Amino acid sequence: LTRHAADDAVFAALADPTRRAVFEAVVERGPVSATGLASGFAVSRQAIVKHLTALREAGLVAPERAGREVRFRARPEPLDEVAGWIDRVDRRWAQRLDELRATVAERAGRRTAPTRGAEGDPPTG
Amino acid sequence: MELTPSVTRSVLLDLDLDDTWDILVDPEVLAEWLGHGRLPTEPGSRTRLVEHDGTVRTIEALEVDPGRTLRWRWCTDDQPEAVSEVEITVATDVGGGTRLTVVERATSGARCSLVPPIEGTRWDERLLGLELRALRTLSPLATV
Repeated sequence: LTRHAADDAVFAALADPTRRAVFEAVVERGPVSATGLASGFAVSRQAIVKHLTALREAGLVAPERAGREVRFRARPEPLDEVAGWIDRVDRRWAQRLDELRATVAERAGRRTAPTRGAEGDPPTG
Repeated sequence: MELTPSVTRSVLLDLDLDDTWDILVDPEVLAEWLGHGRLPTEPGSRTRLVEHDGTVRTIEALEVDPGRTLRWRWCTDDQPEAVSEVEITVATDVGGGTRLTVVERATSGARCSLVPPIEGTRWDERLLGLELRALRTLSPLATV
């Protein structure tokens, strides 16, 4: 996956409210099995497995075997990528809007300040 | 709850609403704060913008409500898979002036089909560059 494709996978995985709740449960209770998670949700174990699969494909959880059980642990790294996107975009817009404000102020100053040409221009008409 | 990463920034400008809209779409002012080029002002229309750091973006207008809202999606030539939507709204501020608010949202699952094929003006630019290089090669003493 490219970085942006990975970001997309994270956005898509967490866009579903139930899946987001499953992820939060893994963060709080992990490592935890699908059966262990299902007890806290009003959905079937099968539905929890599907959500865990989507989260694993997005890199947000990692499975690990514990005897006959597969338990899932949360992985924060993909969220760092999302935080990085927000930080980059936020800094760019802050800079752009600062420049816009400065440009508007400069143009307003030019409009209100008398120009040399205007002072010396002979009357017309 | 929608979980789409987004960034919101706003600035208060000492202008009325109409003047704010005018400067927003004025290429001369745009070059000062966003980049060289134009913003598309018709839904579906596309423009190109060169930012101050040389980043080239293709922009496609999604919504144009003159004097109120301009919404587009954009991507860069070097990262066409990184598409995001930008919405700029302008509104009279209660304290005076006009507040310009920008929201940029990451898009999920989108792929940029905005980058135009290598044709038209881009080919013209490339061919001109090729001609200049050929002239230098053929006439080492010539200055172009």
